[in-house]
Amino acid sequence: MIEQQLVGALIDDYVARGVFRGAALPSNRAALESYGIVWFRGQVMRLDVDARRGWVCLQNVLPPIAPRSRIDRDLRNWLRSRESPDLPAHRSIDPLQFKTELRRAGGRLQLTVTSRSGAAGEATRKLLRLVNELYLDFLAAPERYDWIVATFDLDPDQPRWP
Amino acid sequence: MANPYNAESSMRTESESKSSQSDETVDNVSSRRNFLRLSAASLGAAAASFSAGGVAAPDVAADGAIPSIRLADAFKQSLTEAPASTSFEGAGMTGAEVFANLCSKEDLAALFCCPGNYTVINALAAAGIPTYGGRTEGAMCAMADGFSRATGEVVATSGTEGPGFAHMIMNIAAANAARTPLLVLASNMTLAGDDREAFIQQAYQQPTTEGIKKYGKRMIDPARVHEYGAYAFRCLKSGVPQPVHLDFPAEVARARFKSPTELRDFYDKSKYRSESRASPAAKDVDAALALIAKSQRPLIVAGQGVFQRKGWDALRRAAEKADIAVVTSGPTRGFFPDDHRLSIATAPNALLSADLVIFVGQYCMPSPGEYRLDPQIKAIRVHPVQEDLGRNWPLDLGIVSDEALFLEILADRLPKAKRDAWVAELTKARSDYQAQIDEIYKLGLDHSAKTGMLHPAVITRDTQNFIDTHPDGRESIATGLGGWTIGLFAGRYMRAYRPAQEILPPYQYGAIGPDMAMMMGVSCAVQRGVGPQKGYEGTPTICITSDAGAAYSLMELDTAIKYGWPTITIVYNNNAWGVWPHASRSARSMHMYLFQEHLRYDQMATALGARGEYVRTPADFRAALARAYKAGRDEKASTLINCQAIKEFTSGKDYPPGVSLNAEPGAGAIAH
Repeated sequence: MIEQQLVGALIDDYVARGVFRGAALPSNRAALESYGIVWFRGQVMRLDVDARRGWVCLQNVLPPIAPRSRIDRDLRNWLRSRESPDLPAHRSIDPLQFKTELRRAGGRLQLTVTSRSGAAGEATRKLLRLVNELYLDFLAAPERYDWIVATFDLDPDQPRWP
Repeated sequence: MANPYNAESSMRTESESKSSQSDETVDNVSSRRNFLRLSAASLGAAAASFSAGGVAAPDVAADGAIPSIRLADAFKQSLTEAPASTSFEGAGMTGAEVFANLCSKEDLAALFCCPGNYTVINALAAAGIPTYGGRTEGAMCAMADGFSRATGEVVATSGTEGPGFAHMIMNIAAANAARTPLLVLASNMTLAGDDREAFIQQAYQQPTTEGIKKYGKRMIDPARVHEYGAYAFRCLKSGVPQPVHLDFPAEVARARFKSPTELRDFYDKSKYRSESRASPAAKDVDAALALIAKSQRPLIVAGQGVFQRKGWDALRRAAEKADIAVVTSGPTRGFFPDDHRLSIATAPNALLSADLVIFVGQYCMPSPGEYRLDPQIKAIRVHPVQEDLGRNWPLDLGIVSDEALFLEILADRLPKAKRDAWVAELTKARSDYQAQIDEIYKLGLDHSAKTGMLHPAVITRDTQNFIDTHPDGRESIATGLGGWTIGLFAGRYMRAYRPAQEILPPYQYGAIGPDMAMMMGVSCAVQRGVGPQKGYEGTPTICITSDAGAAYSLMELDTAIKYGWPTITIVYNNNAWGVWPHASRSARSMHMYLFQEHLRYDQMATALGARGEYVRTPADFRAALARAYKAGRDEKASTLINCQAIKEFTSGKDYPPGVSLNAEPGAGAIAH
């Protein structure tokens, strides 16, 4: 229950800071909390939280990416780099504490972070920061410019997220 | 007032030009001579025909050769004339003269204009205000903006009522986005002709500048000309500056006043405006200090307000006292040096680590997600007027204060603090970024070698290397970065080490085109040693732009040469608008994005009296840049270096990495 409250407070904080629009969704599964989130380029994502297991999952985190494409490989490499001890502790995801997974669901991508100690609040914080960096760092790299303009139908003169 | 002009402007003969050209350019000169010889024959015939009618053709030499480009004696004579005094005695003063005197007392730094609005611009010139005339109103407006971006001073621009004023619009909007204190002046026919389409050039000006000015007024009561002049300067010199637009019907500009009693509110600037500035409330400073104390990785984003309020010393003192990272934002860079141990401008990877951001004088606020920051970062914003606090970016603390006053108080009251881990992270992130762009430079060299054309990474990195290693000191050369492909590459490599060393012409409004003219305004400021440009007089400026951008203000090379402003313009010539990839997936579209290939902008420059260089290899480029600098420094010559490239360098498919936007905030940021 405490972890659920932590997650709720975290979502409220993100909303209050103008990071995304979000609200709790009705859930028909015990122990599973869900939030609707409108983030980057108005994409509707769904955050599912199983506080008992310390498991959080963001659905629709990215539009479809072809398996084994270059961007698919780059993305997986980038996610692994987030576990690097070269990153400062406040930015890295310690694989001894958290497990990160990228999966496909209905063509679109979902990203999950599981806290090995069951700390759903901290797992949510890690996941949302990871997604923020995915958009502001990984997708901002020069080699992704053409892809994001085409995929998100961005104004090529101003390929910005909000 | 010291004479701001340099009447020793260098007009160069062909033989002088030839001595400093590359082999390629020597060929150009040779070709040009052939052209001149051919032209001379026809011109000679025309002159003979003209003379037959009894009119002399004084500029054609006896041997039939076309004379060299030169400054008219009347031009040089005009610049040496003393200001004329005006008074209410005798014939009295015109409305334009009343206004000009007010501008003079307000130390208006410069007027950049084209003829038109004659009564007003002549009165300003006669009053001793440094005035400069050029070829198009739009470019002269950009020149004024550039002068202000390089100095923080209030400047004016002027054009004739309809066409000239309309031509200024793009650059008024650019100045508005940059929060430039720009006084836009324009004549506007007569009140008697309003709504009658009397004669020519009728247009309603004020609605045209709606949304791109702080204040505007079509003056209709001659007696209020001083009052509205005061209104203009109150807006330009208080709070957050933006353009102010006054339009002068003839009845106002030409009205005659024989007594001050005929004028409303005719009193001194000490009465019509105040130098008082908002100081931060003690409780707000306490709250800011508490947030900073809790922060492990604080960051100051110092915006245009810090530059305009000349708060750079206090900024540095505050940052160094508590190991606070700093990045500047806005159209002017260098007021926090890029090579400082606390600079995060070239450390984009560290931006996402900051846990507290303090926006100071950030006039154009981003929204969360536009800046590369952690989503949970706490935010303080310091702004001179209350009503903008909380716009776009939700705040933990909003503080109403003058930027410089806040930073001085912060520097005084901050307890000393060491944040070694944060400083180490900044150092590593800068090093990582440098390694990344060094790798891109190597790719650029490879692309250049394979194609025989100049890659933008090579042009921009070698330009900065030239500055960094120059004996005059790396702080000496002011630069401006424009264009799409070349501008984005330049953002990665170009550095600024002192206030207003770097100007960003496309800042926020994204205009591709003001670059050359804007940098001529900067050059004017440098040659006069105004504000932060003091100490760099005589140094040429460097403008990096594109073939698309150059088209808008290339003719102003004439203006730069007239006034003796040594400018070096590096034109990235890729035969296209840089956004051409957006046509590649669309049928029948590409033709709209392409120019003729291999256009010779260097030859256009030569025809305007400047030096021209044509280069295609890194070695030739470096040599041309060195020659251009020497010619600018020694002879006040302006040079255009035509860097031939190919449009495909924009795309990462064939020539990685291709173009991409730079991290915001930071070096190369252009949006906020």
